[in-house]
Order: sequence, then structure tokens, then C-alpha cells
Amino acid sequence: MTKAYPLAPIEEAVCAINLPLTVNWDMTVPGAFYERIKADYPFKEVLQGREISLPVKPGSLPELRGIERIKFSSPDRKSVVILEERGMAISRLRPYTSWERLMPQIRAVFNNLSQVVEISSLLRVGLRYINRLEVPHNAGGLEDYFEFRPHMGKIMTHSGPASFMIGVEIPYQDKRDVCRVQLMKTLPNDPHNDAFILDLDYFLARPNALPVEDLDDWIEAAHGRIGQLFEDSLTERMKATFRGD
Amino acid sequence: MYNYNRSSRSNCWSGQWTVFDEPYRDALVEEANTKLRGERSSFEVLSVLAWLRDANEGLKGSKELSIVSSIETTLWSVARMGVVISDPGRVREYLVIYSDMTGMLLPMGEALMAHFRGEAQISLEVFQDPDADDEFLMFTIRMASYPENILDQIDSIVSSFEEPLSVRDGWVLITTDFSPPR
Repeated sequence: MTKAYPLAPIEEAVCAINLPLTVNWDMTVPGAFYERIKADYPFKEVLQGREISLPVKPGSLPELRGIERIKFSSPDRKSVVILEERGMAISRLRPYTSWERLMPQIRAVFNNLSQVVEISSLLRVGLRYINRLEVPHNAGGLEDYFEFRPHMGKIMTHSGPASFMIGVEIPYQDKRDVCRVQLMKTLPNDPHNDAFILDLDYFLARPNALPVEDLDDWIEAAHGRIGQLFEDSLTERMKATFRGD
Repeated sequence: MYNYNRSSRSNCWSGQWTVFDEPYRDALVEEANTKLRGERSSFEVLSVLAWLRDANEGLKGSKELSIVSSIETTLWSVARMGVVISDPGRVREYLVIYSDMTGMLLPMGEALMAHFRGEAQISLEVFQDPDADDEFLMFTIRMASYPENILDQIDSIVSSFEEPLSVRDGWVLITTDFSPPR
């Protein structure tokens, strides 16, 4: 983010990297990778799940397949690495510390993976900030808190939506990169509040379009642009709620 | 231009907006043809096919690797089906630690709501065991009047989830306190 807020509403900052199928990945990778990161991420947990892929093309059948991920956590459980076949994500959960602390963690984890897997190209890279914002119920309209918000007709505005989800995609670098910005309502921790998720997901939209040696610069640029869009999405009144004024 | 697709996993609010860039697809096919025209050995042809497969995977959109995104989608879906979550903050905190429980909540909530068909209030909360340093998730069933075999009914629902729960680090209890709905 461009500004550091004392009460930043960041629930999770996550950098996800997916490798192409040409990268050789075998069963020894998770063990060898854990050996390298276990000093910082000592807790490990296998996550079982099933993934349903609904068809993009008419006539295709949905696919159901088992997926296995391994979650490695720091002692405070707030810094997390998730590893799956040809993919990994480095997350920092609330309380978010700072970009100056997160970026070196991302770099270190990726370097450790590079020591056990030969990475010659990157299928997809994404940097995502998920913010949860709570404001007192009936303390104002959406326009008081959000520059990025749904625009509705009179009837819908009068009724007030029970929930909403809006999204835009902003292209960068001649559409090589995209930042997906989404805003939606969510369940408030405080029953007297309304709560919203502002999700900023900057990703490489063109697969294999980023040389590995440019990864650090790409992540730094992604962070800067996410920060700009975060600032652009909220009003000063909203920012005052986590500025600590 | 957007293509709203549901090709990503079901438990995902995001990853569904994909740039539908037809010129880019055409460019990919053209590039693959160019590569294939120039390559004659089977290894090189396979390399081109692998490259094309990667490009196709990339176009499908991302996989969900965010912990918070999965939690928020699940809680929202569970609440929307009618389950009462009086303290979402504590449930969130629990799921951050026991991430493998997130995927259990939706099928369990659906099973409970389908079984009781609106005749019971179903609530979800984190239960702190006072006798042990332990906490777990708890679905509580509350009804205006209880059938005699309510515990058998609960057992039958629980039994269908015992196997997937047994391989997870966290736990979800389904129970009743025989109170009326709150």
C-alpha cells in the first residue's frame, strides 16, 4: 500500500505463484521444501479438499477431483505458506505488519522453492490484499465511505440492497497484468456495524509472460498499484476510521 | 470485456472474472502454429503442446489460495442459507487456525437445513470447553417442540460426516440444548 495506516483493515495479504506444467514436480518437493522453511514455518497441516470445475463450454461435464495442499504456519500462525502441485502462496493474516517485512518473506520462500524445483518460467503470479471494513450501521450511505460503489436506480437505492458484489478489472502493462477490484458486503464482527470486503487482486493475466528474473520488480509494482487503487476506492471519511486520528 | 465464468472452484467468490481476450487467444494459436511449423522433432512438438496447455490453464483463471477469501465465502453462504452466526469474529478466528474446517461448514449446514426443513433454528458458534483447554465449532439445533428421536436424528446426520472430520485437525459438533429458538 502507498500509505501505512496504524489500524490498517487488511485481513490478508497473499502472493500466489503458479508454475507451468513444464516444471518438473515430484513427491519429494514438499518434504525438501519444508526442510528449508521449517525454521520460520514450523507448523504443517495437510488440507484435503475437492475441487469442482464447472464447464466453460456448453456440453462439457463438471469435473470433481481431489486436491491436496500443505499449509505451513509461523509460530503465531499468522504467516502462512500454502504449497500445492506447481503452486504456492505466501500469506500474512491480520495483524498485518508491513510491506517491508512481507516482501522479504515472499522473496525468501520463493528462493527456497527455487532451490528444490528448477523454475524457468512463471505461469501466473498474483498479489492480493483483502480488506474488511466495518462502519456503524445507518451512519451514512455508501457514498460517504466508498468512491468505488454500486450505482443504483431510485427503487433499489430506497430499498437498500441486503447484499451486493461489484467488480472491475483494471488493465496494466498493455493488458499483461490486471487488477481485479471487488467490493461486497460481509458479516460484521460487531452486530451494530455494516461490514464490507474490499478485495484488490493484481495478477499476471498473460501466462508465462513474466521472466523469473523480473519477479521481484513485478511484485513491487503490483504492490504500488494495489495501494493506489485502495486509496482510490475509499473516501476520506472511511480512511479516517483506520488512520487512528 | 468480461466473461463471467464459474470454472473455478465452488467455494470461491473471486477468481470468476476472467478477461475474455479473444485477440489474445488468436495470438496464442498463431504463435503455436508458428512454433509447430518450425519444429519437427517429437520432443519439440511436445514442448509446444505443453506451452499451449499452460496458456490455456492461465486463461481459465486463478485457483483460490487465499485463506480469508475461502472463509468469507463460506460464512456468507452458510448465513445466507439461514444458519445464525451470532459471533462471526470468533468463527473467523477459529477458521484461520483450522483452515481445513472451512470446507466442512457448507455441506454440514446444507445437510442440517435440508433435514429440519425450517422447523429448527440452526446456529453456528465456537464452543470453548470449560473442562479442557480446547475449542471447536458447534452447530446447535433449537426447536419449538422436540421429537422424541431428536438425538437419533442428529446422530444420523453426524455419521455422514465422521469420515471427513476424522482426517482434519479441527472439529465440528452437532448438538441440541433442548431450548426453544432464540
